[in-house]
Amino acid sequence: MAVTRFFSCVGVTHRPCVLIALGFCLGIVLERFIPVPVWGWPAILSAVFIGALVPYWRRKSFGILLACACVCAGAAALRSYTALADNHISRFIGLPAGGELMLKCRVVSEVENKQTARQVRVKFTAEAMELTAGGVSRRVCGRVLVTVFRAAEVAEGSELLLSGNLRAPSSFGGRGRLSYTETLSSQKIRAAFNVKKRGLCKTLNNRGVFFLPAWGRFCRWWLNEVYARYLSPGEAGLMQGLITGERSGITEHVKEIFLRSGTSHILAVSGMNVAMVAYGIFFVLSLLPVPRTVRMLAAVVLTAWYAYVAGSSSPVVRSAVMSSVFLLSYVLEREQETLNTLAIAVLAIVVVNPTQLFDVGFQLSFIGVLSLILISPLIVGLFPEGKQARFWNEYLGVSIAAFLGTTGIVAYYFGTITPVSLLANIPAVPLVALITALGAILLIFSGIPFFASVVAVALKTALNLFVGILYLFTLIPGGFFYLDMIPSLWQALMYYFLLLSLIWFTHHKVRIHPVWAIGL
Amino acid sequence: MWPFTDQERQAALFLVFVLIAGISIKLIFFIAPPAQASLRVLDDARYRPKININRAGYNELITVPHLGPSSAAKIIHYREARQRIRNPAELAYLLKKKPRTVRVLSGYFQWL
Repeated sequence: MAVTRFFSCVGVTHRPCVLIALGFCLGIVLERFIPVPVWGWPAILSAVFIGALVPYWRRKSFGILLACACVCAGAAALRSYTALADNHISRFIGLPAGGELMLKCRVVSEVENKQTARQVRVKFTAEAMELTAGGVSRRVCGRVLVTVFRAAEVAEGSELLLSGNLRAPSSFGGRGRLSYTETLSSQKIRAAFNVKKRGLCKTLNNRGVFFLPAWGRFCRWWLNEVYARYLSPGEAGLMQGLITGERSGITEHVKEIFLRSGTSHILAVSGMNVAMVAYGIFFVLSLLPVPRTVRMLAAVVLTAWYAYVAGSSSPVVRSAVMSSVFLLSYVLEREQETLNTLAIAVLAIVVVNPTQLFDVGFQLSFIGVLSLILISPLIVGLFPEGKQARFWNEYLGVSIAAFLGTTGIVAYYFGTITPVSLLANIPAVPLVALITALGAILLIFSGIPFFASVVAVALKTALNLFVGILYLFTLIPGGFFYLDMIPSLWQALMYYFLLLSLIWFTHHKVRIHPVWAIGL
Repeated sequence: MWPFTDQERQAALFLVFVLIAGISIKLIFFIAPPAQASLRVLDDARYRPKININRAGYNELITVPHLGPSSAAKIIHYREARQRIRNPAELAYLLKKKPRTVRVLSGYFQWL
């Protein structure tokens, strides 16, 4: 009875996906922090299943059984994702070679050519195939991050023979809790192979790439090329960041402006971009004589394509899944529920890659949306009502909710707090919407130079106005500061516990004694 | 008259507005070329938000390129002993860095 009441309280009885996602994520967290033997999870699941057969429990036990099954599934997913094969390349790090190692591998990522004043570097991810050390060859598997410290002709999909040294990826020390090694590890990269200036980098054969990734790369290249043609390098870099998520072209001072005005989320392709793309596609298709269902399905497919072109990071996949579920709910004539949709998006990401649960981008994206769903209506309710005021109340409510929701994570990972973001986001969000729309128009007119140059001037003005306004916000004293001591995990969790308590009390209109309120 | 929907009409109006705005701005740049210099925020590194060298904490100082933990600690100790760093020359004396490096560093700081 108590369990049923608990489930109905948290709203999972009519939101099954929320229960499944919560259980799955709990399983991943338990597996990461509490070492359970291999037989542990099946044993727990069997015990709960046997318990469910007892007549007294039968009616009430379905929810518990489902939750336990999800927990076990989450734990199993993380274990299988992080398990290493016996011949995994990372097991040969520190091998006494008695000379250089030879690695045969296949390039599986885009090849990044980086040229600095001192050196040229070619960087890519490869699937290891064969490792030769001290005259002994062995078949190996697993991904490896390859860096060639000279100019080299490398194409995606080609098989290479490299000579160099194998090591664990460097964890670049810095402030905050972000770890480069963990980021690589979540991409299944546990080893790095360096080819020095005189090292061997020979292409054995080139099988090419499957046409879908090739088309994705071509689309990204075309988008970047159009902006580079009509805008200055700084402007083109920012546009590429906003539309395709390619951040390498954004200048350092612009990154600093975004960081200090608390608007860095704009540089990540996320919900707003995907929503605008979905709306744009739907709008263009609505001009054609096609049935509504076909339009919606086409919008789903093209949104997924945009998410792929934009790099498939957690925020963009989350928003693509949410918008697809939203559109499909109309096609299937099903009622749509925001929390359920968010839970489906969580599942879509963590089932494919369970380590994404510990990724800062994933956490910021989902907690941001969750705070918009849970906190924003409560804040709007605190303001005075009125037809004119309603728009501003909602706008301010969204900004405050996003700030409250993400502050804990930002402080935990980056050790910064940005109160000015509450103000900076108010002009920033509509300006970015305008800039995205202008960017889309520039792409449409890119084939007609006169119109394209006219739109490009409007876009340049909007971009400079936008960054100029953000720069003014960075001048406000106390708008951004570094914490002297980065909060611990328990402090961050305590912050979210207090935030949830306040949401709970406000939602249930519980009157708190002033002393308790001050204490909270 | 074609049966345009409200959304289509709004989209067409927006497009016309963008074209008129673009042509107007182009005309302004044609009449007064110096106005074009105002569109340099994204390409001009002078618009970098500056860090107050006399107030920044250790965690903020180590975010500056060319400043490691030991340099940040030196700045903090110097501030504690002599209250403030007044100019790039004082910073150069303190950190014992090359003039070129100090010139780059001073671009990140304000000396209030």
